[in-house]
Amino acid sequence: MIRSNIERNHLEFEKKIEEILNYASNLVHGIPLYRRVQTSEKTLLLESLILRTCALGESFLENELVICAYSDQSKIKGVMNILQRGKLPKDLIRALIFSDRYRDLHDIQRIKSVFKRFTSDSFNPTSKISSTQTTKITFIYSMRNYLSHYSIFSRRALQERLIKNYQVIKFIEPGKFLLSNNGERFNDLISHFKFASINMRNYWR
Amino acid sequence: MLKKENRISFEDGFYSSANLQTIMGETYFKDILFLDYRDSEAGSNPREYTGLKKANNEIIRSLLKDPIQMFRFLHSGMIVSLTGLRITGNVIEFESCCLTNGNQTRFIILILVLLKLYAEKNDLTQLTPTLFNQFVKDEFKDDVEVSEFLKFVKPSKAKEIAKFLISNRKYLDNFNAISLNKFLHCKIRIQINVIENVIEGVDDLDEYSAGTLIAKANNETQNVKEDDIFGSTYKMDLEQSIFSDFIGNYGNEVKIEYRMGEIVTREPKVHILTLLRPIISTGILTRENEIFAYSNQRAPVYTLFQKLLRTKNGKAQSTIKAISKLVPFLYQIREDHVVNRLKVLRSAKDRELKAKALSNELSHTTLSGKLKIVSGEPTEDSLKALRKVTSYNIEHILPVFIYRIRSIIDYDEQHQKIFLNVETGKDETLFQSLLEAIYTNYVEIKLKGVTGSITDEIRSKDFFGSGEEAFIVLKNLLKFNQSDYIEKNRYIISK
Repeated sequence: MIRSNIERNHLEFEKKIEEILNYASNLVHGIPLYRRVQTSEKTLLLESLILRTCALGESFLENELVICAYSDQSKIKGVMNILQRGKLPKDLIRALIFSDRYRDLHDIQRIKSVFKRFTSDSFNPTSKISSTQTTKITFIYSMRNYLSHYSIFSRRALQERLIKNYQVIKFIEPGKFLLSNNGERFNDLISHFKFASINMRNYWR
Repeated sequence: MLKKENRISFEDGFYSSANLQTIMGETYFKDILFLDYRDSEAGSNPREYTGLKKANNEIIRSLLKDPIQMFRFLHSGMIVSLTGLRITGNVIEFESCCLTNGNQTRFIILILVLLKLYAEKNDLTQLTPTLFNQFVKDEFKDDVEVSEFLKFVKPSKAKEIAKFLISNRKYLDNFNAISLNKFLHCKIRIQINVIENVIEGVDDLDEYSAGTLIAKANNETQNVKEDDIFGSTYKMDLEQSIFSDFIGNYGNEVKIEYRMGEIVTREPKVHILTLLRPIISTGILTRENEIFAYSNQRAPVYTLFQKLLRTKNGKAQSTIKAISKLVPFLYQIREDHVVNRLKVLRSAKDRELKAKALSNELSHTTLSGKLKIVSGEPTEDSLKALRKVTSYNIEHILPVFIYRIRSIIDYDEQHQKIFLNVETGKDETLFQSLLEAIYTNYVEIKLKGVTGSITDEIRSKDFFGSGEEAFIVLKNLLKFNQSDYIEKNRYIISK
């Protein structure tokens, strides 16, 4: 039951990511013919897809965290000082993790530490996320932050990542960056969400 | 200093046959630099400059060893076809020219001249294609004719010769030692075919055809591509018949390349083979089993069209008219619906296979043993192996796609237009489904492994069966009407 819940959470997430990737790929390549859009619209749409992907990623990780903490409750009971012997319901687990304060699941290192705090070692698949996936997803989040706030701070953070990861010195708006090279950058970045999920899924095999 | 003058001078006089069909003598390098060699009234040479390959490497060595004294005796010389001759003393002026033999040598000499000019103010060791391009633009900006001609000199080929010089000290010293003026006045033997006199009394041979025929014969022993020979020989016929609708539809928007690499600018272009191959897949010229065998072929495709162009009967002519209408239609299908869709399909397949590789689900395929996952990521070599499987040649996929849809290609008499017998909007579903089925099968074949080469596989009846089931389902679902347009216009060319 637990395994099938985990599997379903992953497959649903991977399917949604694949839909986004396919949609973007068709959009960039002008398919279908009658729905061709201008470059300026393409950049807008790709930027929106970044926000959507991040939202899906957070929702997926939130579910994963709850399922893992629910499956082996020893860690969370210890952390929360809960002495009750019986199994806690899943909704209560969710409430315990997320209701005391806002826990954002943006940064991979942070995600790993949240998982470590609430799940036992044998129920923590985040160790399977590769360093490349970590780098790419971290970059996506710096883009997402910029697109959500357009603040000077978020712009500077994105600029630093652009230099560090892509040696792009001059600031480039996310949509334009994602569209370059026939949308290959978008494809490369977003597909790492899917591959991270696959690696995590393989943890259970 | 360098001019394109349509004149050849002979310091020591020349030999001329009594009927003035042949003229021979020795001329200066400066007079052969800009001799036209393609698409002139005097014919078209099928061979472009190929770079420093084996024979050309020998030519440049013998040229640089002793350009003044010995070179002309070590080289067989040049042959040109000329029209509109005017002879004044030791100088021959002409209207049009086709350099039929010695084009490789001419380009080597021309590039050396340009490099000498370049080296006067610049460092040859730092030459890049971009710098060369800029140099040529600046140097000849006021001479339209020379500038136009120099578009045929690819900067990469100039860089290649510069590199040759730099890495061969002996030749570099000789190159530096001779002045540009002295080099331009080195001599080479030249033989002139006076085309008007050559064709006198020969039926059915105009100047262009005669010049092209000579150029073709001069290059027979060379490694000239079938494409270039066919394209040069039949250019006019193709323009007037098989490509007439394409030219009418696209005009200058997309230029037809009759010889590989002849259009050096960045304007949209399409090679003749790209236009001719899809016609074969419709089955309008061949029997069913031959369609498969012709897939992704070159020479047999040219032979087929050569035979068609030479056939003058009414049925063949009406087939040519139908083909002329099919050419732009199939090109549009390729460009609008196939090229990009395949890119999207490949991208998705890349992800699918990488996902399978991460989950170790490809162990039963040809990739087994080639994939290595380190710390949750495929290694660079593994990614290369994956990409090799998903890579495709559009010339492998397109024939099957055209073969599949040929029964719904129809002709609208009223608007005189070819169309696909599918409702607008539904055609996208058709294209997507069929291409996905064909491409998936293509990748599956690669994953299973082939006994021969992939080329053998794509010419099999089995591969041409790709997408058949999808087509039947779509036919019933989308309710297309079958058409007999191809059948009605079929003209079988026997092998």
